[in-house]
Amino acid sequence: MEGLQPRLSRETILHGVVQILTDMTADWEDAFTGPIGPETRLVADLAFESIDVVQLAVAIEEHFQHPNLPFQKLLMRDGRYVEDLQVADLVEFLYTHLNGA
Amino acid sequence: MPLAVCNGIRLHYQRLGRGPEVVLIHGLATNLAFWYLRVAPLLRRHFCLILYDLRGHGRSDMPPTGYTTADMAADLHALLTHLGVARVHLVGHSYGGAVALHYAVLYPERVGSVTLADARIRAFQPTQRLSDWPDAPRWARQLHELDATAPLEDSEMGYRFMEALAKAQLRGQGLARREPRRFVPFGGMPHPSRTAAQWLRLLDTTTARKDFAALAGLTPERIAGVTRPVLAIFGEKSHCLPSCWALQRHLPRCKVVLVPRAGHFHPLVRPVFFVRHVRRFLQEVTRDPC
Repeated sequence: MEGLQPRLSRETILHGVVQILTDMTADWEDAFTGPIGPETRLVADLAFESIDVVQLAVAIEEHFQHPNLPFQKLLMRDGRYVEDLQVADLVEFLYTHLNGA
Repeated sequence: MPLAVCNGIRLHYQRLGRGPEVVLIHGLATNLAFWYLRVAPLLRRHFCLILYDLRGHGRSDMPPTGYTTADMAADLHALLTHLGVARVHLVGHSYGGAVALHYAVLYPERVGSVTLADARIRAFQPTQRLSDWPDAPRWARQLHELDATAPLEDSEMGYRFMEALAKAQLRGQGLARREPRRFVPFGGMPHPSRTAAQWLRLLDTTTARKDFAALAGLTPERIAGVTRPVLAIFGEKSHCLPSCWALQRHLPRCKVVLVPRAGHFHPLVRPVFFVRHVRRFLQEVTRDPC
């Protein structure tokens, strides 16, 4: 059945990710006050830490009903954590893996 | 974000994968993210993983008291009861390892095996002075650079060092930017770390500092009574090695693995090596052919 599911557009994914990030960061002290969009950076703009990455990954898997997404492929480069990610990087990763890559 | 009310507080936990149930217990001043991004993706293919935040850490509550290994073993027991898990394999890093060992002492019928990753066991290693650490001069130099006030012969240098790093991070002077190839707690963030602030709040506003120093019943005699298989996997350069050798002497079923060229945080620095040995050990003790 998985192959019959409609492909998710980048716009749909972006909308979902922005909603998750907005909900997550709403009650943080010194929360980011600007609009969250494709160019928003998780660490530099939203002040993400590793526990926030876990919460984001879990929320994305629940939102898109897709467990076991390989987030380590997004977060690791050459055996080390990437220093930061833009929302657009996350959307592109999800576009690939939610649509059956 | 799953929260379970256990032992009178809320504990944040995650469950991943399928197979025999394995609990991953992080150490002090971190949270379940310690395991989530590197170790869990490799282990979840073979085991059902339960990760949780110790009290005072991550998204779990920070009550004013109850931070001994006995208290945290009681938290774990309540969490496993809440989840309906009858028997588990325990994997703990650092203080999380001491919690795992204490759990195996208190609830042996619930434990299949214990993996101790660089766990300092207070009964065997009552003090941690900087002068006893491998590469002590370099650590002393770094403490000096951090403008730390801890005396170099403090008997609890492990906690003191974490405290110094947290304060430095909040001042914008964390070490990681200067040493990008090593893991440094609270490192690498361009903004004040909430995890660092949480660690300092835990030390300053709860009984944690006193509780961490308590034996709390985890005596050499009771440890020697553990009959379950134990894997002690320690960094070759770790300051916790005295605990490793004592475990080997006291536990006839203790298997020792040293991680080459690695220190205390070897599960983060060498996750593939760590997972290979943990998986092999768990497969031996579960007799699972996978």
